Amino acid sequence: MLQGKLVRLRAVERADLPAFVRWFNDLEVTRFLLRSPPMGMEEEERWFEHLRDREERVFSIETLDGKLIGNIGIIHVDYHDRKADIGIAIGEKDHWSRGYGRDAINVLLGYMFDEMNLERVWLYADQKNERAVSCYEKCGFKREGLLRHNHFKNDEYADDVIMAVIREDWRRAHPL
Amino acid sequence: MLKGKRIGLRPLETTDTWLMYRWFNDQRVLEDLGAEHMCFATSMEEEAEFVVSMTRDTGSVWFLIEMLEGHEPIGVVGLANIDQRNAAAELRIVVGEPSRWGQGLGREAIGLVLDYGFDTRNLHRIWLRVASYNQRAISCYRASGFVDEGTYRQDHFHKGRWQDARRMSILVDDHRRKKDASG
Repeated sequence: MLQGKLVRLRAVERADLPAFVRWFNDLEVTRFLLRSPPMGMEEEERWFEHLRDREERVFSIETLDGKLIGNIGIIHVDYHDRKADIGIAIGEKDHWSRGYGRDAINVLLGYMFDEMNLERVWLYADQKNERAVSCYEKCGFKREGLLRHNHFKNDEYADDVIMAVIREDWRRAHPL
Repeated sequence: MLKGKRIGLRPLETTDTWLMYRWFNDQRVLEDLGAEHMCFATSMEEEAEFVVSMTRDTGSVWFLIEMLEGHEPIGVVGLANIDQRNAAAELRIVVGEPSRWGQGLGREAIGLVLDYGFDTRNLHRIWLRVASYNQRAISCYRASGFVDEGTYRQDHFHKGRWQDARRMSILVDDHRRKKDASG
């Protein structure tokens, strides 16, 4: 379990699944996520059963008073290049734009750079997802380029911004 | 139950999963272990499977450390990697309740495990690995009779730096001599 200023990251428990299903069936929540509704409970249970065999590591985000508000994951870890990509969703909309996602990302970045010894953490953000892009920038991510028509969502091809934070950026902002 | 002055050791049971879950998800506890764990978080179901495998493994033996008064569980200790051929094993201990740190309870538990390992299991040598920044543990092991054997240089990455680990051991004769000396 890792604790930040506003949130804790902990393992995903079976009891979290109904909330995940609720979030991932919400069009507003999934507006900029790769996954689109519908999502079924059984499908989510199958995902949970195989979570341990999967390369990705997903964590539940809870507030310090224990309310489950989202999840965050390390999706692929490449130990040769020492890089990984991450994904995050804050599913409880009343917790949007209040710094919870940013705190969760900062906690995870600290772990990835200072414990996992990674060199680069990157992600794709939908270019239209300004709230997310500005959050990632506040976390130290820099825009590296634009991937045109990189995914199909809501009846159209959408452009992704590729963003990354590298170890020296992180260290400058978080000296040892 | 193996009894000391303030604590006792009883076999680890699968019903102890909740305790293990709590201890092994506590950053204060994991911090000292020298990056042994794949990840900072373990789910209840993963921990349950892990505890089942610990209780079934014939190559190791695990005890819950309990306060004699009130039976409050405070940690787990065991001998792992039991090598029958060479009569050797690795000592592992975690006091999972930070409120119980610094009271010599871990040292008491180690004394009981050493007695068990040497007197009951007829071991010849008990060794351990410890993170070099875990001074609290190192002084406890020294006080228990463990001797420094060497350094694993830049053994693991922690807090943004490469960190050393140490290997220490105690032989059956060291242990007997120490016990005779203290009467």
